[in-house]
Amino acid sequence: MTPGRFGIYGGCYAPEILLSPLEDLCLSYAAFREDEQAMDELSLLLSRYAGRETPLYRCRNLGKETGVSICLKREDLLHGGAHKINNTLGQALLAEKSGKKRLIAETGAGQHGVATAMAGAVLGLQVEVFMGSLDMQRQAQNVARMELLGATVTPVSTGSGTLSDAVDEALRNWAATAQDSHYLIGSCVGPHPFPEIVRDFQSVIGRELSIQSVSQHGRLPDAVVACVGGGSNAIGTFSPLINDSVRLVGAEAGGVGSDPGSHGASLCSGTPGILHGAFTSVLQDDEGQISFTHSISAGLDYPGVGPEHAFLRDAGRVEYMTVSDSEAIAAFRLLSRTEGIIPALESAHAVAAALRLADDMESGSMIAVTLSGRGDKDLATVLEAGL
Amino acid sequence: MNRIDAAFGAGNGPLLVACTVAGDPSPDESRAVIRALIDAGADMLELIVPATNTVADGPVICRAHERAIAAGCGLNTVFSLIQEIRTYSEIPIVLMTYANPVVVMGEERFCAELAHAGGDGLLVVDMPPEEVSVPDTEIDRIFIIAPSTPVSRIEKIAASGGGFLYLVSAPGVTGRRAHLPGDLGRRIDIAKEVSRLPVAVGFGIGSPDTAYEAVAAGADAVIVGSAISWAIEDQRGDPAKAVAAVVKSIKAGIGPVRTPRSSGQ
Repeated sequence: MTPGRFGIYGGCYAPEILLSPLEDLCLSYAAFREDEQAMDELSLLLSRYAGRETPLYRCRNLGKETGVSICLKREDLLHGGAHKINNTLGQALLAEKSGKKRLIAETGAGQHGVATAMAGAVLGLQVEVFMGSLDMQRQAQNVARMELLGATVTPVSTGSGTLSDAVDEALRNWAATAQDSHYLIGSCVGPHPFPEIVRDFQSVIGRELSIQSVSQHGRLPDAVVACVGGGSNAIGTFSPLINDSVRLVGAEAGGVGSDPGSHGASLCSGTPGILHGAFTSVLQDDEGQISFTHSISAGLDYPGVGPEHAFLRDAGRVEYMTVSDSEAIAAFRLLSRTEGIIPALESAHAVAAALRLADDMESGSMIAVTLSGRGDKDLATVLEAGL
Repeated sequence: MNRIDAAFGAGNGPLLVACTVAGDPSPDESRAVIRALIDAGADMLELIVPATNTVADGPVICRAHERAIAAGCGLNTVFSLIQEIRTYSEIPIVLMTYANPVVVMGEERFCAELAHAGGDGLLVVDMPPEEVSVPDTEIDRIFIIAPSTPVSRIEKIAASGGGFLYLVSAPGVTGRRAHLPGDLGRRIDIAKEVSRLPVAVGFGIGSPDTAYEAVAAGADAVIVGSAISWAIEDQRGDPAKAVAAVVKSIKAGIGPVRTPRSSGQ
């Protein structure tokens, strides 16, 4: 496999103006990984600032009726309320070690923006977050949090005013400011080396899950489920388990139907194409125009996906399925009432997929679900749908 | 000799490359705009394929993309526009696009269709030479040199490309600027030292002054995009007339009789 490629997927489809910064990033990341002091510093930040390790919690009630154990990898308990902080602390520290003074980020649901603002604040870096104007309305509380943390939130009103447009704007800004700014991309998408960097920083989820499962239950789970928008929590969960005999399942946004524009299922319904610098599975028309998407969850409302997921789908190593808005809301309510845990709507997609799997699995099986974030931010959306 | 080489070899001095988003503001009006650009004295056309994710473009051209897409302009319309131009003009035509439509159709077929329509060059903004899988076609592959591109890479780009080198005047996205950076001449000199290809300067050329600064710095051509898109947006009543005025004004900036002005820093 060539650098930056996952089979035929990945690559570096970026404007020339970004190639030099991307090459610099490859070099600085290679040095960062070899820098023991930096790795120790990251470890300390993750444990003492972000709150790792997160528990692997075996649900007392959920899945009981099927006889299947459902365990939750509690990334929702991290500082900021989501797995995003694993990546933002890693990249912010990388940026600081590379001499950058400013972080640029894009955000959909707002979780990545908040996590970037936190990482920027703790490491003394300026932060500017680009956010679709529609997402700003949907996630007003997270906008306020970012601003409180000292970040500038810049609205993006082009296109559909969602995550995809925010990524475009962040890349444009980076093109003009790369000399002193690091683009802290929020998922395992984008041109090489971003998918690899984000996967590496998120793979702490799967490493811990694997160790905890063996120490608590004496074995690995039979299946591991995670939601997939861009796919960072999923690739972080799956990558340490790729060589184990564990069924890996990704849950995509099925939205409100299968028509273009009514879902965000890039792996289940997409075709090969290029989005934001990588060759991957993309929701698009026959001429390569990127489709609009829909998901009740802003974090899954994205027409592309990390290229490594497309590779894992083609290789048959990971199964991907869609979960509709209504199924996600039902899982959101169910987990809240049965376990006292309010999940992010993104994570609720994974919970719904796990419940579907549980119906077909043998009694005594075990499913681990990455609970990528907590659901406080989604309460208004769910209330609107009728609690 | 293809049309691009012929235009640079004709000895008519620095060329003006007029750049417009195909189908902006609508396919019909775009036909009139293109005709007006040619009639007003453009030496080469750069037609942009409307796209939804335009990371290298500034707000003015982004809005042009959105107008063209809203008016229903897709790739087939763009190829039709080129075919239509060929019924009345031999002006060199470079198609500029983002990579996705090219890879979705397949690079080889895309280049063949472009050549069949009457196109001469292809510039894929986000497809660097390393990602090109079909380098040899009858279409010139045109590549961009950015301010951050090191000399060793300019050599590689020059070896991979044809037609001309597209030199970006300053960091950032497309858009008009008051003046071009002071190091532009040095960067053009470097490009010419390592390549036999003509050098066209784009990003930031939107006035007679900036056009003059570019040719004074040694550019073989200037590429005017945002000023044309802005004229279309600002003069929706008669976009053809508005873009003709832009071309004539900038043409005057690079004309041989123009009084020298101070080069902006």
